[in-house]
Formats: sequence, C-alpha cells, structure tokens
Amino acid sequence: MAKHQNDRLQGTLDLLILKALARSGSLHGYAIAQRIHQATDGYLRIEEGSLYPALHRMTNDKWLHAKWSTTDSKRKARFYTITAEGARQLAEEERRWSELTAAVGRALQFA
Amino acid sequence: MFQRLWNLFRQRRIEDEIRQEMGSHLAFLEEDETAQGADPQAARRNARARFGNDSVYREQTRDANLTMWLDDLLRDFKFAYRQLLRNPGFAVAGVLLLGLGIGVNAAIFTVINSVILRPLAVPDPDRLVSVLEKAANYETPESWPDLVDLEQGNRVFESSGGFSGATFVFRGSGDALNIHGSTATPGYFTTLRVQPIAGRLFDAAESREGANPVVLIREDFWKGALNADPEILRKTILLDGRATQVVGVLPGRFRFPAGDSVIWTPLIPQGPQKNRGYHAFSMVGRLKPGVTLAQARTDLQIIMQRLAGEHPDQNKGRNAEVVRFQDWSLDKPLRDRLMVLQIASLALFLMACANISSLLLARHSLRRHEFEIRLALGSSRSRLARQHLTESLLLAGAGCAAAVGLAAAGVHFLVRLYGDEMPRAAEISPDWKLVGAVIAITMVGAIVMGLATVLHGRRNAVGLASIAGSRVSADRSGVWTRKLLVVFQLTCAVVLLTATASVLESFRQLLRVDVGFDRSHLMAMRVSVPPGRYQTGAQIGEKFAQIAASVSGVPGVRGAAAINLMPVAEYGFNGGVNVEGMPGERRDFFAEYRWITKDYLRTMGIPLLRGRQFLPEEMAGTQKAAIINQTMARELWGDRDPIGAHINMFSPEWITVVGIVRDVRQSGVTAPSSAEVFMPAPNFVAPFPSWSILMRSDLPAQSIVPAIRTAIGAVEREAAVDRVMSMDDVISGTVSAQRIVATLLACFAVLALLLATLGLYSVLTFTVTARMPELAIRAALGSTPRGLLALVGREGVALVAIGLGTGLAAMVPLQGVLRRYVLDSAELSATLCAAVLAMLLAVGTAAVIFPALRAARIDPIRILRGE
Repeated sequence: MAKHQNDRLQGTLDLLILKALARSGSLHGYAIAQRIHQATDGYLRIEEGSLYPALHRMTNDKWLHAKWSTTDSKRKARFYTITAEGARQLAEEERRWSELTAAVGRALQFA
Repeated sequence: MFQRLWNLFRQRRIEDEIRQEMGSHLAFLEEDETAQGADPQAARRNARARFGNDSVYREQTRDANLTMWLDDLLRDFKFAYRQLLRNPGFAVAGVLLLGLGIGVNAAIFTVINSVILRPLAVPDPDRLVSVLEKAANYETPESWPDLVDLEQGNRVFESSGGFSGATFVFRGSGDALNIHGSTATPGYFTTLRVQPIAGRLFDAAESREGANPVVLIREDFWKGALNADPEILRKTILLDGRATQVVGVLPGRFRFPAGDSVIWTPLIPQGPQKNRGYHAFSMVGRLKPGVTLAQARTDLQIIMQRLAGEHPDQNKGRNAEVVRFQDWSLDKPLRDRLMVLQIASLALFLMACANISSLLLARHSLRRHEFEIRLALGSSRSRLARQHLTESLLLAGAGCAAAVGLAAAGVHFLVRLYGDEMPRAAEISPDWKLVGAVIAITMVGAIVMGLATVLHGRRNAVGLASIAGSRVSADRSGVWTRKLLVVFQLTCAVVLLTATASVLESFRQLLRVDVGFDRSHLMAMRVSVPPGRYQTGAQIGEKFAQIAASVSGVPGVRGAAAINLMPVAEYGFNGGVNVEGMPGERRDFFAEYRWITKDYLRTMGIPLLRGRQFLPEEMAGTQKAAIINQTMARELWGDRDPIGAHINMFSPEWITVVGIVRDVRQSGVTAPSSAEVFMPAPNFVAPFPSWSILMRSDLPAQSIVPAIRTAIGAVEREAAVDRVMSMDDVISGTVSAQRIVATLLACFAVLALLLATLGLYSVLTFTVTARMPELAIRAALGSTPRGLLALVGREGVALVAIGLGTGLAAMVPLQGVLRRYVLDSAELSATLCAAVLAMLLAVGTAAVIFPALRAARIDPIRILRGE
C-alpha cells in the first residue's frame, strides 16, 4: 500500500478533508479543495495530485462514501460524504492534532 | 484490503471513473477561470496549467485503489518473462536444472511415501501386529499347535488368524498356470477386516479336514484369468487338480500376504504340518483398543514360556516376538535403499540449486548496469528486490511444471523397475499433497535464490560511478560465493561418483563370485505338480525324480536334475541337526535341508570332496543316507571324519553321512555358504509341490524349452512350468534390488558429474570475462599467453583440487552408510578412488581449459580500447 513519506502531513490532509466533509455534508473533490483553500484564508492549497489519491484511499478504507451526482450547474461530479467510521477517525485525528500542536507550542516556548 | 483486491478485477472501470472525476475537476477549474473573465480558450489553458500532470495524478489515484504490489507483480511478471526470453539459454538451463533437481526427488519421495509412509490399505492398520517365534538367533513362523495355543491363550487380541503363503496350479482354458496366494484361517480375514465384493468368506466348517474344497479369489484374477464370469460364484475352478468351489471375490486392493496373492484357500494342516516342530504358519492379530505392543509381547511370551515347559523337545528356547504388521510386511533393506536414493537425489537437488544460484549471480553481474540505471532514475531498492524475486519465481514456476512432469515419468519408471521388489507397488501413485509439496519447495527455493541475489546486490551497490568506470574494472563481485558453490558441487560429485563406483565394482564382483558350481550353459525352471494328487513328500520327490529323468532324455540335454529349492535364489528350508554321540550343546545345529535327484551333483558340477555319491538303493529311497557340505563338516566335526557318522533332523531315525561336497552359495551371493544337508528326493518330507529343474545344454534356450516342456508333460500332464531362465539370470535376479539402486546411483553420479563440470566451466568463464581488462593490461605489460593460461588455469585447478579433497574426506564417514544400506561388500579401494579422481581431473581440466585458452588468446589493444 502506498504510504506517504511524511505521516504527519498525510494525517493533516486526511484531517482537513474529513473536517470539511463533516462541516458541509456532501462535496465533490474540487469543492473540497476550494473549501480548505477558503477556510485557511488562502494559506493552504491542496494539490490535486494528493487530493484524489487521498479521497480514493479513504473511500476504500470506508471513511468516506462516494456517489456520482450532478451539481447545481448540471455537471456530473463525484460527491463524497463522511461515514460513521470516518467521523470516529476525524475525532481521533483532531485529538492527535491538538496534542501535536500543543506539544510543538510548548517546545517553541521553552526550548 | 479485500476492497482493493476486488478493485483489481474492475481496474478498467476504476480508471474510467478516475478519468471522469479528473475531467469534472478540470471543468470546475475552467468554469472558475471563465467566471473571472478569461476567454474560453485561455480559461482552458489556465485550468490545464493549474491542474498539472493529470496522468501522474491518475496513476497515483489508481494506486490508492489497487493493492499496488499485486498490480506491480503482474507488470513484473511481464517484464521478467521478457527478460527470460531475451536470454533463452539461461532460461532453459534454469528450468531444466530445477526440473531435474526437484523431479528426481519428487519421484523417489512418491515411492517412499506410498510404500513406507502411507498406511496399509486396510482399516485401522495401527492395531495390526505380526507374531513371530524367536529361537536362539533366528525368527520363524509359528507351528500349527503353537498358533492354536497362542490364539486361544492370549488376552490382547480382538481377533487373530493364521496364514501361509502358497503356490497353486490353476488350469483354466490353456496351459496349467502357477499362481500365488495363501492358505488362511477364517480369523485372518476378520482380523484384516476385508469384506468380499461378491459372495462370502469361508466358514469354520469349510476349514475342517475333509470339507469340500473352497476358494476365495481376488477381483483382478476374476476379471483376468476367469474373464469376469458373472456366474463364478456358482462354479468350480480346477485348482491343484481338484474342482474347487469359488465362494467369494475379494477386492483388488487386498494384497496380503503378498502383492501377487490372488487365491486364498482354508488353512487345513496336513500330516507333518500338524507337528509342533513344523514352523510354517504366520500369525496376524488385531490388538484390543488401548493395548500396546509391549503388553502384547509380554502376554504372548508368557504363553510361549508355558509351551516351552510343556513341550521341551520342540519349544525349548523359543519365545514370541510381536511387531507392527506394517513393519513386518515391508522389506527393511528396500526401505534403506530407497532412503539412500533419496539422499543421493537430495544431493543432486542441492547441486542443481548451486548451479542456478551461480547462473543467477552471473546474470546479476551482467545486468548490473540495468539496475544501476533504474536506481538512478528513482526506482526504490525494494522495487528492484521485487523484480529479482519475480524473475526467480517465474523461473521456479516453469521449473516446477517440468519437475511435476519428470516426477510422474520417474515414478512410472521406478515402479516398472522395482515393481516385483516392492510389496505395495500397486499403491504407488503421486497424490495432490505431493504436487503441493513440490510447488511449496520450489517457491521457497525461488525466494531464497532471489533473496540471495538481492542481498548480494545490496552489498555491492555502488551507484552510477561504476557505470563510468565499468570498462576498466569489471564487476568481480560474487566470485567468491560462486567459487564456494563450485567447490560444494565438486564435493557432491566426488561423493556420488566414488559411492557409485564402489557399489558398481562390488556388484560386478558379486556377480562373478564363485557360487560353487559351474553356471555355464546351465538353465533353470520351476515346475509345480498338483498337490492334490501327491499327498506326501515322498510321492512328490519320486515324481520329480521321474521328471528329471525324462528331461535328461531330451536330445541335446547333457544333464538334468531336480532339487526342492532353487540354488542361490531360494533358501530357508532349514532346521536343527542332531549328531549321534555328539555332546548336548550341539543339539540344535542349524542347517539348510535339500532333497535332490540322482544327477544333481554331476549336472551342477559340484565336486565330491570325500566319501561317495548316493547308491542306487539310497536314491530309490529304500536306504537312508545324507551328503553334507564342507561348512557343515568343518563346523560340526572339525578335524574328525564325518563319513559314517549318524545324524537325524525331523524324525528320530538316524541317517548315515556318506559324502562331503564343496560349498555352494545356497543362500544368495551376498551371504556366505551355510551348513547344508543333501538327501535323496524320495525322502522328501514336506508337501511342497514346487521344485526346481536344472539342466545343462549347449543348445539355445528357445530351441530346447518346448521339448523340455513336452518331456515334463509326459510324466505329469498337470505340471506347471514357469520361471524358465539361465542360471546367470537366476543369480543376477537375486541381487536385482541392489542392481536397481546401483543403476540409479550411476545415473545420479553421471548427472552430478555433468552439473559439477557445468558449474566449474561457468564460474571460470565468468571470471575470465570479468577479468578481461586486467588480463589485457597484463598482456600489454608483457605477460605471455602461456603466463595468462597458467594464471587462469591455476585458479580452476585449485578449485578442482579443493573439491576433490573435501569430497574424499566426506567419503570416509559415508562409506559405513553405504555398506550398511546398499551393499555389504561395498569397498572403497585405492584404485577406485584414483580412477574417480582421474576422471574428475580430466573432466575438470576440460572445463578449465576453454576459459583459460580464451584468456591466453587475449588481444590487449581491443580490450583496452573497449571494443
């Protein structure tokens, strides 16, 4: 199975995607990228080269559910929703993220 | 995981989906650009630019969907396949080596598995035991009264029975036939739990003296000799001259006591067979659940001790021995020989593996540039390792297929060779477990080989630098490994060759051993008269005297005689001898008994050393006399003269010793002569109706045999004649099992020699190729061709010398094994060792000389220019 070199960044991308979907229900890939881009005030731009592999991997892991549907502009797109399993994963990732940032924050203060 | 595996099967659909998804993403980007005011063309261009390389994304996304290694595996296989095709010589060599190595092993293992490891084809074989009687230093079957006492007295058997192998004369539509079978008590069948496929077993009434004759036949006999007659249960067949009622048909897989047993009649002891001293009946028992072998032994030994007290004359010193039926029904020497073959074939397999590793290493060195370039282009090391593994797996797969084919052919061949020697030949067949084992072994082998190359490659990873420098110093890595492999192969070859040579040599000597009689132009055959017509031993003996006389009268026959057992091939009719006036400890002197017709000693060319031949009245049976052999005279009388001494054997009546003859190898060529007593045919005591006729004639066999058959038929119309062969064939037949082992060992040895030579040749060729630049520099600096030849030659000769040394050293402990399991007389002589060494040196030199010559003919300018 393809594993990213950097598990922390990988986890971050998963976390961002899961969070976006948990907030907004059902989104297609482009919308997920847009949402993250806007939510971080343009700070984070998700590479398509990472986004789609991540979406497909999470779908195969049953964290997401994917369904073909049409947008308001009548365009066909694949819409993703978060599953219960994915929600559990999100909680876990959020917890880990806050622990990590807290730790890094402490390290920056006192090191 | 399963999701991903499943995705593999719908790969096309997934790829379409990904393409569509990427397409829609691009469309959203385009919409975005248009919304920001770009014209459609610019919008498309910008979207494309913002999106990036969609084929890379597609591939990455696809990888998230598939178990990537599986997909890669498929691609690796395709690649490996192309690689192997690019180098067909290597591929063919690899497949053949593997096929050979594994196939030979699998074939021999199949035989071992069927004959030794698989349980007997009867229900619950673990609880079946054989009961033997043990005298001082030999084992015998039970006598009838002992058998009855053991059956009635024991508390350990659920059921038990007695049987005795027998030969019958069957007359169907054509000539009288000798067929094998057994007499058996009803308990025999219940103990072995065999059910007839038609009809019924014997009942107790049919096993009593005077009952109407009945017979059980085996399925294949019914289908063959009786043409599957559907009315057979209502018919009688002519057996030993008596119309015998067929009561049942036993299944074809029931092969006891022997594979060729097709007939069973009730065991009804006659005349002397009822004596307690007459040991001819084997006993089989089924242990009660929970009873151990040791408990059974103790129980039966208590009975035997009681019998020894009650019947001291016949049973003193006799005890009971209980063995597992399976062990008893197997020939131990056969098992040992199969094991030796298995070990030899394993050695061959290891040699094949060594050769393949060597080939792989060489190939790896040659493909080093390819791998370095792939590494430089970003291929991961694990990915390269996988490539190696795939290639060796593919090779192993093809080798596996070859091996299964070869194993099937090998089993067929072994059964044909060994069929008569093996108790369970008919049960031999490869099973799926075996095929599975072969595949598993091959795959493990492939992984080990592949890993070896991988590890090797890792250790020697240098990177791109060596590509540039490759012209000056070629890769010599792996040379040491390969040299070790070559030495190993040479060692194996030496061991196999020396072992084979010593076995073959002692075998040759065995066949030429002085058997004690003149074997030239001597023919032998077995003749059986119907026992129903000849009740007593005397009648049978007299009949054979007539038959021998009739055969002597055939024109062209120089001499003919009969004897109750075939010299050299048949032995075991024996017992104690008592000498009148000799101290008590000599009471149970053990000797072979033989009954002969009048011209026997003259026909065989056995010289009389002292005393005289039998007189006509002795030959006629009116006066008792015996002739003994040298060994018996020496062992019983020492320096004293046995002529005129009185001896007795199975009856108290004293018999006078009238002559001493030279020893004959009566108990096989490998065994020394034992004591032997000859008596005139009319004094024969046992109702055994099969004797051997021996005759000497200068005419070729095929021209004289019909006349001999006629002459025998003139005396006894119902006589069956078979096993017509020259005495030479009889003698070599007694060592056929050893011969087969020797032949197979010889095949293995030749293969081993070939493999070792190939290994040596390939390692040297590789060294020369790898050292080309160095050799070229040497040549440029003034090395003569002779010097270069010596340089490379020395390396090869050193390898050969080390291999020969280790091989000979290994032979020293192995010799005991050979002597124990193959041939007692196998001897490692200095001449043999020298011969083997000379042969290996010659072949080794040939393997060395070609690469060395190549080194000598080197053209430094061309090499150094890199042409």
